Amino acid sequence: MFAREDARRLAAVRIGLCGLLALRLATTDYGFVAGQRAARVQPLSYLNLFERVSSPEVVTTLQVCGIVAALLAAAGLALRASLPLAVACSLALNGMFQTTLPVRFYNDVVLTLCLLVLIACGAAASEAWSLGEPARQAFRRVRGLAPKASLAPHPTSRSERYGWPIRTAMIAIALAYFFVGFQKWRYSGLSWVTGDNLRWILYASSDGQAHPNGLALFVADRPLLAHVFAAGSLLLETLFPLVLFIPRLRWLFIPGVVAMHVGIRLAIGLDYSAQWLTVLIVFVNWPVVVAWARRAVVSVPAPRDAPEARLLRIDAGRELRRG
Amino acid sequence: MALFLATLVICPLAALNPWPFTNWELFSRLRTDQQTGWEAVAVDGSGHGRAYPIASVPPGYRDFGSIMAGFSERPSVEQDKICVAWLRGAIEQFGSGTRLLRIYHLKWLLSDRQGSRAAPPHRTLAWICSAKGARETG
Repeated sequence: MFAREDARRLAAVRIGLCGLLALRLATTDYGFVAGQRAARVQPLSYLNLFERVSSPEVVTTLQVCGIVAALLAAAGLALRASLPLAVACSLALNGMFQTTLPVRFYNDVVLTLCLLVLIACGAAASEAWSLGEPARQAFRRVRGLAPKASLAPHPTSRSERYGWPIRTAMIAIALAYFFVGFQKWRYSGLSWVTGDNLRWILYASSDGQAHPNGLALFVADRPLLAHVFAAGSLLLETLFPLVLFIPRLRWLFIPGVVAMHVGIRLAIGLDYSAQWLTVLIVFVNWPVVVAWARRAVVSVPAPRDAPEARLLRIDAGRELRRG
Repeated sequence: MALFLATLVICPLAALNPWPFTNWELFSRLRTDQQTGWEAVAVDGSGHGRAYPIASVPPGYRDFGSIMAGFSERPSVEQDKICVAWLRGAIEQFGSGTRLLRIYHLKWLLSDRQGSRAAPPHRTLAWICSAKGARETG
């Protein structure tokens, strides 16, 4: 858990999670919650504050404030203030959203939990790939002062302080998937796979939609296929924590959960995009991806470095020497 | 962080839901073939009824199903209050000719298919909401 990590990897998680938070705040329709009555107040929670949800003005203010703060946090600017503010706005808005729903709202839970980890790591997440230092230098130039030597660590430096937040977020995600599977074993057991449970879920979902859902009905009409999907998703969820111990399994489990969430979106209409995007942001080693992408771009010969161009330049040099 | 991870573990084990922590019980209980639901019908003076989708009427009555599930256990004063509020909403939507709301309990089987949809549900009149309040019929 406390292994060293590249500062840029934590920075990539910051950019990804804060960017995703800004996107969620910008695209979620919080407008309809204003003035709604609470449907079912959750126990032991600050949600009790939102029994009667706030006015549209308060909702809009929270939304705008949250988006701006999340974008500042993604840029690494004033992270100690901008990130907690963005998360506070998100908690308030999602709290209102949740109180108006008769069922639990899960889409943003994993994102929120990972953002809490990011808050706990303080300024470490803004020590690479941040606009903070360039902004400070530009500000000094505008004021006519000499640029100051940067105190920030080298962007490729490795430290435990960049490692533990990433691993804690990974553990949080792994626990989330494990407990989703665990609760199915606990309350339903093997019947969740061997019974017709998934078929009833799919039929009920399709019947509840304005138009029948072709994908849901295709699976529900084929009991064997429904058992295979049920077994696959239960195994995927229960065994997900293995990715913490056997990194190679990430190549199997990460695409697996993304496919599962996309399948759920298409068949049942439930949007878990914030969850699977959080999984990608946290588990993918983005500095390695960036380095790979750079190498891929650089290895393509530019027109002036192509063999023909080089021969032309050699010929031109010979001509010049002769002249 | 130890406290954070401990909370992540305790909430599912103890079935607690302190948002943003959760018990992760989504789709954990077995679904059955038999489904139940509720339907409200707004009735005018001539006895003509029109479906009144309370579940999607703003502002505030989104939880129609769970309110109806425990409706008979509520004190009669509260039942009357809820019923009058629903009737007022129906009058706003369909006009002052609306006299009462009939609330039906629905039962249907998911396995009983008619094409790509479940067969129509079996309806039982359960409650009538009028300007005076709620009256149980079942």
